[in-house]
Amino acid sequence: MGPGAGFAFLGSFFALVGALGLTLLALLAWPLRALLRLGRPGRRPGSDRGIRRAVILGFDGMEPSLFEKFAKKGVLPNLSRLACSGTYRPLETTVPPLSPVAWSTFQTGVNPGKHGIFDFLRRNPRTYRGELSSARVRPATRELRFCSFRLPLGKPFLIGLRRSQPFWKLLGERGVPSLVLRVPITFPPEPFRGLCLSGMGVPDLLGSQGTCTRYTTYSEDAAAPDSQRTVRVRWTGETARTRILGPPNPFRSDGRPLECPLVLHRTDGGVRLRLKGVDCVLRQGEYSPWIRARFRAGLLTVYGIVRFYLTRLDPFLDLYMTPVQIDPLHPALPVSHPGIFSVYLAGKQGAFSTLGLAEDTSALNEGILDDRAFVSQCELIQGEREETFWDAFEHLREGVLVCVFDMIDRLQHMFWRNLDPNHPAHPTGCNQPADDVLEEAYRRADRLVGEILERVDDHTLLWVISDHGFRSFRRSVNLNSWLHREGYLAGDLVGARGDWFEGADWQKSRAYSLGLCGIYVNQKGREKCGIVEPGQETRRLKAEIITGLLNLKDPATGLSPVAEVLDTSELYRGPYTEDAPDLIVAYREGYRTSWESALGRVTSEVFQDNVRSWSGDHLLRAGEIPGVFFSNKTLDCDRIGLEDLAPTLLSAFGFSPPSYMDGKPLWHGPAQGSTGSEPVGQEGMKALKAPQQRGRKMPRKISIEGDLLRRVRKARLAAGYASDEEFVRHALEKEIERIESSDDEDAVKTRLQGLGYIS
Amino acid sequence: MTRTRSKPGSRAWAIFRENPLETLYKLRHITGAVLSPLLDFLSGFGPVWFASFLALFSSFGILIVYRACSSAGNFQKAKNRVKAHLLELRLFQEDPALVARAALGVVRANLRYLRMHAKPLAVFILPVSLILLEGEARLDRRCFLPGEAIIVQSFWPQHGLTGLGEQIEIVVAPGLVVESPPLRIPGQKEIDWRLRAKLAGVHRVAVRSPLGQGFVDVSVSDELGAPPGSAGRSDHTEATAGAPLLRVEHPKSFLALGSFRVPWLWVLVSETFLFVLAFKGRFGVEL
Repeated sequence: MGPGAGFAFLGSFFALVGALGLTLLALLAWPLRALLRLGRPGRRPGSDRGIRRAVILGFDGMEPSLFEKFAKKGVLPNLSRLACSGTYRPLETTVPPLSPVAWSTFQTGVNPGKHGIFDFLRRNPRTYRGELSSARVRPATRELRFCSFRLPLGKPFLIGLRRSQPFWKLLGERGVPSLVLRVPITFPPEPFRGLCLSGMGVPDLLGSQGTCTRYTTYSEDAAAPDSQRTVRVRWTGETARTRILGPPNPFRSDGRPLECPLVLHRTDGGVRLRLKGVDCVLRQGEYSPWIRARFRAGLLTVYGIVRFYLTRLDPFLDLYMTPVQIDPLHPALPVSHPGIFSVYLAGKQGAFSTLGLAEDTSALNEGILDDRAFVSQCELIQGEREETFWDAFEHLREGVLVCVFDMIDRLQHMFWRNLDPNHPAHPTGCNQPADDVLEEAYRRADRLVGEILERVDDHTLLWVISDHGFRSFRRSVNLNSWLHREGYLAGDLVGARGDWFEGADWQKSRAYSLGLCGIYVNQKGREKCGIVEPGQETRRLKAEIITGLLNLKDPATGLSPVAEVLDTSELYRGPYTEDAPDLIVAYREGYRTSWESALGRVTSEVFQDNVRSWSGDHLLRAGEIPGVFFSNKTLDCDRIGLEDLAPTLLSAFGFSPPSYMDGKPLWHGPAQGSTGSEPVGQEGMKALKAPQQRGRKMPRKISIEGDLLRRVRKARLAAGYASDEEFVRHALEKEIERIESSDDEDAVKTRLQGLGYIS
Repeated sequence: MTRTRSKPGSRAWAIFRENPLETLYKLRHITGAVLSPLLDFLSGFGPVWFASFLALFSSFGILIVYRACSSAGNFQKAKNRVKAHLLELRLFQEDPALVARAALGVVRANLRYLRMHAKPLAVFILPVSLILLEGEARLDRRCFLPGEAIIVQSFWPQHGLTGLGEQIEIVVAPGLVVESPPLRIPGQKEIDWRLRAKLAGVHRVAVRSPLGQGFVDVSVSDELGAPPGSAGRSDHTEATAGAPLLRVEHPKSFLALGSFRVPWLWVLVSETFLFVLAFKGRFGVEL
């Protein structure tokens, strides 16, 4: 039948032979592997509670009062059934009640002082700039340069900054596999026994947390905010040629972005999009399917995926493009463990959103998308997530499946104004009833729970949880503006265009705020230009700031916006407490830190109305903003906190939780099985594996034995580290940071001499 | 009396079904005749280049048909699904039930993928068959070289002369010499002779019997070219009842690639694969 048929049959033939080979191999090797697993130390003896599977659904931001309101209305029958037949409690959240912090505590069972995540951002004490708190990407350190070209020698570093150990890793060491889907702060994915698809923290292809693009023929537009790029397009007849901007060219020193040509043809009521290998017609008010964009840099091709939404065609073109996301079929950065897991999912269900903060709230905030388009986007992403969940559920025969859904959180952030008639952005005369969007989101969650309830048996533990609740966000508070006004933050800061305290005089500044609720003391010996002495002076300053904030009044309402200010030295316990902000601010309902303050900007006003679409938030006192906890098993306990969930899961599978965990199992009575989180034996830890970092193999082994090992173990147990490796790594990092705190090489040498490292 | 008109398509299909191979050969004769100026021009570059041109035409034909009859996106999805199930085998290898399910998934996904090829294959099977026949005609056989042995086979019909004592005579043109007496194979009703080529040219061989005679042309040439006329196998009989069917198998031709002698079909197929892979992006086709 000719060569063409040969393609079909040859391709199929190899695939079938390959499949047959792998199947036979897997089946023949299975008995041996099963025997090896039986003999492995730490193997679970069997759960005395008869639990073989655990399914945990995380609905980020599910608010108890809304659940109760909708349940009373009768529109959440499955969650109501679960609440009645099993357990329903508020779930105590973390301080601060932010998703990165809360989900990190959920995973590890420890307070933030032991996992090191305190906010979305962390500050760099040497530069006073904000960085993402969950991961750090460093470019390859060595490169060859020639004119404007460069050749990186090596791959970029990708380091996860969440410390301690997630429960799935502990379970995996004991033979219980886990499927972890889109749990926040799992990027980069860590190796463990199971599968993981990273969630919040995964960047887009540009390295940001989501930079959308707007293609428009509209000529007069204000300067585009940082979160989106505007590309001007001009029609030549019915055609416009433009491009998709990709990541910076790795082979150029000037950081010029890679480009993928894009051609737009005007059609009847729509636009035809043409890229290499793609031809798609888009109607107004519609999203395109995921489109693969190829960015070529020499022999290297980087793949990204985008979706388009045609907002408007006439009188001018307004075409929205999602952030260019990492293609799960050809991931430029690892978004899953193992790497082939995302390829498998993409092959099975098609392309899906990999971006950590997939729902483009900035686009709605800045008016690029309207409400309807944003809701559609959330629904599309939810659909993908459900498909991924069901695929994992079909494969879960034993172990843990945890999947986090973000739709409720995003919709509540953007549409709480619909619920709050006092909100400055409350829509007047809008078509939809006030809480329709949110009710539909809760209904969808309820339907999912219903389908799962039909498929779980008595040996399956089902939890439905959320990390925090929600309240209205009506007025924003610029903490940096207040600090500046009160004289704690000095410099020519008001109206500065840049972020991160542009114009600050650090020699005269005593405190600053960065992130959504943290205040840092400009401490000597810690910050690069610190002036506040540690100890008594810092304590005095903190007390002064606390008093000042609690006495602060909003002139517009007469209310105090700040409900509580917590000193983290008294709040957290753990080796990373010193990385935390010195003070955490908890607001009264209706208030939150302003966007400008979070990025280190000072405005002329401390208070402002929040007129954006982002109208719901959760920076209140932790006790006032709990999440939800549902379980299909009854639990005899009144109080449940996020930190209790990891130990409870370990206990469910027959293991005692390790002593460093702050949470406690929720059911009483002893569990069988060995204690401990130590992955090594009691005596003579022979080798300390260097941390596994993406992009570079760290093959060195360092031997720690005998008395030193004993002291390491004692110290790390007292400090609350999850493992000896974590303790040693942190100790080394701190020491190296101390040495490197100067930029000057001579100063570094002097310091090394002073410390006795060199003579 | 009503006359029913049958559609031209169904008539053609009926003719084809009756004797498909012969119909194809006839079609090839027609297309070959129409395209002969071009084909003759191309074959003047040599057999290797001619095979390459045929491969190029084949590949373009395949790509055009696939572009018209299939969706690249659907093909890509189908292939991704096969890949996904193969990865599933690796990801869930610790559970035999999941492994078995994944293996079944591979089979199902493959069948779906193959089904997608059915329409384009159905469309281009005819053109590619004609291309292959043309290749066979021009590349499959070569002329005898002077001095080479030639076997002439004669097949006698049921009622004809098959055995000993028949008065059978072979008459050859001056460029050929009869080397052996007739070799009779009664069970197959076959009588063979061995000849030797002496001179270049197209020489006629005739086998006469009291009931009739048969002819066959033998091509001898100093160069390793294809025999002129139709397919390399001469099978030409002036039919009279009882006359034999004559056959001369011209030697198989190989294409010289460096120091290697490669069958033309291997070259055609592999070059078609390569051209299809090289140009599928240009045509926007997935396979």
